[in-house]
Amino acid sequence: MVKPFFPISALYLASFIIVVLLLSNVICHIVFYNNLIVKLIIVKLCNIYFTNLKYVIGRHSLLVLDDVLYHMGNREFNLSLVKSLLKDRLSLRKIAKEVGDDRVKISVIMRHLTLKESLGSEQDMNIVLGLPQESPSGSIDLILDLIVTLSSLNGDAGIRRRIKLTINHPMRVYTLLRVRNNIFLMNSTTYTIEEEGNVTEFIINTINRELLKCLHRHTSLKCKCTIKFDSDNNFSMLLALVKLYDIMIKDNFQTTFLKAKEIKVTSPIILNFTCPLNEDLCKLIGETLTFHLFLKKN
Amino acid sequence: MNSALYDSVIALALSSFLLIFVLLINPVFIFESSLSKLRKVSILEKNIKSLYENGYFGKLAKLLEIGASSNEIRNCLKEIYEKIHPSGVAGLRLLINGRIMYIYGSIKQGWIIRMPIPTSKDSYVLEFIICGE
Repeated sequence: MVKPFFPISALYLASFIIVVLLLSNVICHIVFYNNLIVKLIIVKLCNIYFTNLKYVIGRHSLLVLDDVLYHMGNREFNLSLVKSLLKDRLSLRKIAKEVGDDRVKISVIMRHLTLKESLGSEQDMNIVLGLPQESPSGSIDLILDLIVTLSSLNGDAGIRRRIKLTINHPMRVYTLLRVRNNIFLMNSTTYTIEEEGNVTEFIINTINRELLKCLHRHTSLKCKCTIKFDSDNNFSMLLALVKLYDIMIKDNFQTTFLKAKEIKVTSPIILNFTCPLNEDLCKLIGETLTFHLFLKKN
Repeated sequence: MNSALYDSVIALALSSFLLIFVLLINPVFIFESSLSKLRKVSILEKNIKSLYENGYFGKLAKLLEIGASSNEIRNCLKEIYEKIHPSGVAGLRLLINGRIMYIYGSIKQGWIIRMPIPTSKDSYVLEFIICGE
């Protein structure tokens, strides 16, 4: 009888080992692909949270910007101060905590914050935030450069993205600042009263005309005006010292729910009017008149 | 037939049977549950992104900001719910300062995705109640 080359147990063992190895390989693949799918689910879930986060950051930034512009409008307007206040008041960490939960952990890092004049274009972000789609030219764009990390609580899957969010505030800040500068240029200007007739009327008409020149379309202005009549040392000239104060320049284009709509000119604007003094004008000396002006360019 | 050949045939037959068995395992069947979850989350992601891009959340925030009537807010929630319901959202819940003010759909089952809505007045949170795990 021929003796078997391999013992029986060795053949069985070899075949079982091969099959077990094959099975373990298959199981490894199943586990690997299952984990991959689970991680994909987490990534998709993170994308949902990421969309929510973009919305919440956008709305929060818009409201903070609005509040800063609103309060800044009543004092000396300074864009670098606006930027610094925004940096202080944007609480992105708090937002990350509010949007995140026991499934997804969120962290937001602000790389840059930029304020820029808008050239007037359609922005998709405006619709997202509940504003008209078109950003008016001369308005302010807040650009947030952020690094957002979203991951599952055990940190085995997630997303990390760098995003630039452009948030437009519809008040035309840059336009209003140009109007303000034009009004500043009027300061200490001297005008000659040339026409005969009512001096006060002439002064008011001149002020109105000069202020209207400074305004842009869709802006209006309200202020108080005091005219103080005096004479020079030789009693030969009538001097009318005009003081414009409480000047508020309003953007009539801003009709949304946001509260920042106007900016103030803090320091008073002084204008001088002169005219040769005659008997009719003598009675004006010592008189002070106050007017409220409201001007709108058509 | 000698016993070595006989053993080899049995061993080969057994191995082939196990190999065929392994090859016959349908991976789709094994991954079906995970893949269905993935599909569900993908649809939900797409629908929430579509709502975001089309300004539904912006519209809701604007209504809350201007103090719109409850009917208007409810209609807006209805629009959001109708868009998102096919992706497994059972209901919507709107909280104002931590108190439930509006409910749309069912809120009995599922897990929650919270979305705060910043406004200049109160603290609003929109919650999506998702069916399943």
